[in-house]
Amino acid sequence: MKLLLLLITLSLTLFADSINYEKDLESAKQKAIQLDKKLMIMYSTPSCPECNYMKKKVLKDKEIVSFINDNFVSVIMDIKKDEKILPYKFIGIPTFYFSNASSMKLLAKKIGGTREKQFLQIVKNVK
Amino acid sequence: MKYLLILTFLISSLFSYEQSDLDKLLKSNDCQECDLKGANLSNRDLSNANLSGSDLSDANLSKAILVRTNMWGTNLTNANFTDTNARLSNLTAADIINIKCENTIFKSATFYNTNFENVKCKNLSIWSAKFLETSFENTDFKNAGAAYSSFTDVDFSELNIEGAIFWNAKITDSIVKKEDCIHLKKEEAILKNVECE
Repeated sequence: MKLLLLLITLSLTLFADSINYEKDLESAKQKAIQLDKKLMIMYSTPSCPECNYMKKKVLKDKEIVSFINDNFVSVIMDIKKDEKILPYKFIGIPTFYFSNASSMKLLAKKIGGTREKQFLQIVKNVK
Repeated sequence: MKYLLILTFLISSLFSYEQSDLDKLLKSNDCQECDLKGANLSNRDLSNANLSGSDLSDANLSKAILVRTNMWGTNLTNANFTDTNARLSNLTAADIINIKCENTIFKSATFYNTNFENVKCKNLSIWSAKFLETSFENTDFKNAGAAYSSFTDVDFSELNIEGAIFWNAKITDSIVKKEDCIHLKKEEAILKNVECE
C-alpha cells in the first residue's frame, strides 16, 4: 500500500505541470507525514490580485512546481472561508507558511508576492 | 520680545494643524477640508475615514491603516507613508508630492487625476491599482508590485518602472518610453493604443 502511494506520488510529481494542492489542511498534514515532506500553506482569497499573480504566474513556473511537489505537500487556505481553522496568525495576504507537518512548527514564512527567482530561493532555503 | 513671540506663534501656526479638526477626525472618522498639516496620525486606524479635500501636508501617516479611506483632493506634500496600509483607498485628485513611501500598500487604490511629484518609493505595492490621467514628475516605482494594475491616459516619461512586476497590467492610451515598452511586454502587460517612444 505504501509502495503504491509512493508510485502514485512519484508519477504525479514527474508529470505535474502545476502544484498538487490538497483539498484541506488536515489531508495535507496526513499526506505530508506519510511522505515525510514539509507543508506549504498559502493564505489567500480568490479576489486578491497579488495572490492570483502568485497562483497563476509564479506557482506555474516549471522549476518551482517541480521543487514544491518534490519537497512539500501544499494547501491553499481561504482566509474568509477557513477563518476558524487557520493555523497561524497573519497580517496580510498572500502569506506562505512552510512548516513541519507533525508538530506544525513554523520553519519559514513569506508575506506578499514576489518574482519566481526570489520565491525559488525562499523555498530552497526552508530547512 | 513680545513681537518676537507673536511672530514665532504665527510662523509655527502656519505649519501646524487645527486641533479641532484633528479631534473631529478622531471622533467621527469624517473630516472633509480639514487642516491636518503636520498631524501625527502614525499607527492610527483611519479605515473608511473621509478626509476629502483635507490638507495633510507634513502629516505623519507611517504605519497608519487607511483601508478604504477617502483621500480625494488631499494635499499630501511631504507626508510620511512609511509602512502605511492604504489598500482600496481613493486618492483621486490628490497631490502626492515628495512623500516618504517605503513598504507602502496602495493595493487596488484609485489614482484618477492624481499628481505625483518627486516621489521615490521602495517596495511599493500597487497591485490592481487604477491610474487614470495621473501625472508623474520625477517618480520612482522601481521594483514595485503592479500586477493587474491599470494605467489609462498616462505619460510614463518621468516614471521609473524598472524591475516592477506588471504581469496582466493594462496600459491604455498612454505614452511609454521604448525601454519600458520592452519591459512591459516581457512582463506580459496588456498594451492598447500605447505610443512607445
